[in-house]
Amino acid sequence: MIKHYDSLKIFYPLAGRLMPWFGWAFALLGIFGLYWGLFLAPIDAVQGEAYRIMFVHVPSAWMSLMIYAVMTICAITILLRRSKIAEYWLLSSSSIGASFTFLTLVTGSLWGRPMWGTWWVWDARLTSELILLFVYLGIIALGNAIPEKRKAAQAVSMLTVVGSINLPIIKFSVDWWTTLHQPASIFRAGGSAIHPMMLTALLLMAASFTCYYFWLILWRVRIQIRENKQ
Amino acid sequence: MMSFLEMGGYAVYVWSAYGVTLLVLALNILTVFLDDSKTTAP
Amino acid sequence: MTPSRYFIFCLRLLLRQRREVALPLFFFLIVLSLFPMVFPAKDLPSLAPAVLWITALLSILLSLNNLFREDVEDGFLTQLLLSPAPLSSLIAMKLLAHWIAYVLPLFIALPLFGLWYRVPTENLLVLASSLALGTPSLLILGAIAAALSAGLKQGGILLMLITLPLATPILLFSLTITDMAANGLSYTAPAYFLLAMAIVSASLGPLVISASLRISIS
Repeated sequence: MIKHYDSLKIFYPLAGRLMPWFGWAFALLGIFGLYWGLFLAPIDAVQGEAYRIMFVHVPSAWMSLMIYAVMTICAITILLRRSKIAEYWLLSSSSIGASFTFLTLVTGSLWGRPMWGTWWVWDARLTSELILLFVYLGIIALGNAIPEKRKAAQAVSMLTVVGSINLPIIKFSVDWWTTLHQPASIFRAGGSAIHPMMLTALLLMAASFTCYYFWLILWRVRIQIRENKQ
Repeated sequence: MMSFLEMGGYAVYVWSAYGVTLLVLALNILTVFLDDSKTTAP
Repeated sequence: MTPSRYFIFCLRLLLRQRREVALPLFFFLIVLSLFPMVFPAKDLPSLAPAVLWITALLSILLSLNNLFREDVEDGFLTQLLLSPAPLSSLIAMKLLAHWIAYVLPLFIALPLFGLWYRVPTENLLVLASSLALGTPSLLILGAIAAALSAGLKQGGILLMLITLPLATPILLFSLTITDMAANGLSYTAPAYFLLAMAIVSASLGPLVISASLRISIS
């Protein structure tokens, strides 16, 4: 079944038909999400209006991890059996993943400045997100350094798998290290229960970003299939 | 409307966060679009 | 070629190239000497473990730069692939020889480091054990990156860029050991964690490296 769909002949037109759906879903869900987040969601009792940065920050953080998970699936597929689509998918994903990781850091910084009075702290979450960005950049650099597509995809998949084993350890080590050195966390532990309006906005934005990723990735894979033919 | 744009005094932070997000998303779309037109052109 | 004979072969080769083998050690000592020049003497003892570890990290990664390059370029690797012993076992031997040639000298330089940074002997012993526990996984992680970037023009810098972010847990656990020891706490937990990482990477690493080399020469 999977083998069947893993043929470029079926994938190419299918991706072409799915693309507009993802594109429009991204736009519409994004508009709804922004409306919910900026107008309907009530003001936060503690953080005031500044908390609205959450609606771009948190979905970006989710995407930065989700894209890595998808890349790991592609990588395992490539290492186990040949799959052009997985190769293209993997190579195209890293820059989008890096973009979302970058956005997480920048919006987090913009959120942190008014809330904690600083642009950056070497807190566990920030540090591990920064390391994730470096891992993405390493993957991009390795992929770009190898001219042949297949070889690049295989090398990148090896690195992606090694990275995915390492990422939980990185998270754990950074958590441990920062609790040793920064006992007073700046994050509220637990925090207040989230308002349903806020949750709706958050989920809408997350869905919109997910559609964005699939839209662009299908587009990119199609471009690479075409390039391969030429 | 003005009070909405002011974001309770956090306008700079909130709007730059949304702005940079839109910018990066748009840049990603733009690069793919440019790649696309490169391959379709003979 | 059997693994044990290959091990002897690697050691002999490294012994013949001893002038090159000494270079990362020189780098290690030079970088270590820079910090006491720029930092006031009273800060040195608190900086010492972090400086030692970061310097060791960089010099080990530098030493890995040419780990597989020649083997890939002169076709020796293809020859190794044809030998009846599995490639991963040969690679494990090569890494062991590499550790002896490049990492062991760092331990010998430790007394000098203690002298420069005014580190008492018992703290030096803790640092030495953190190096002993952390460097095997570091070497293997770097060797994976070296295998993936072997034969590439920008291999050296790529090796660094790929390995450094992934090496943070090793760095942090090792410094947790020295930190806890300095505060009189029991540091068995991070030590066991590093040991576990060393065992896992020593058993899986050679397999990953040989698969990566196969990709590189394909």
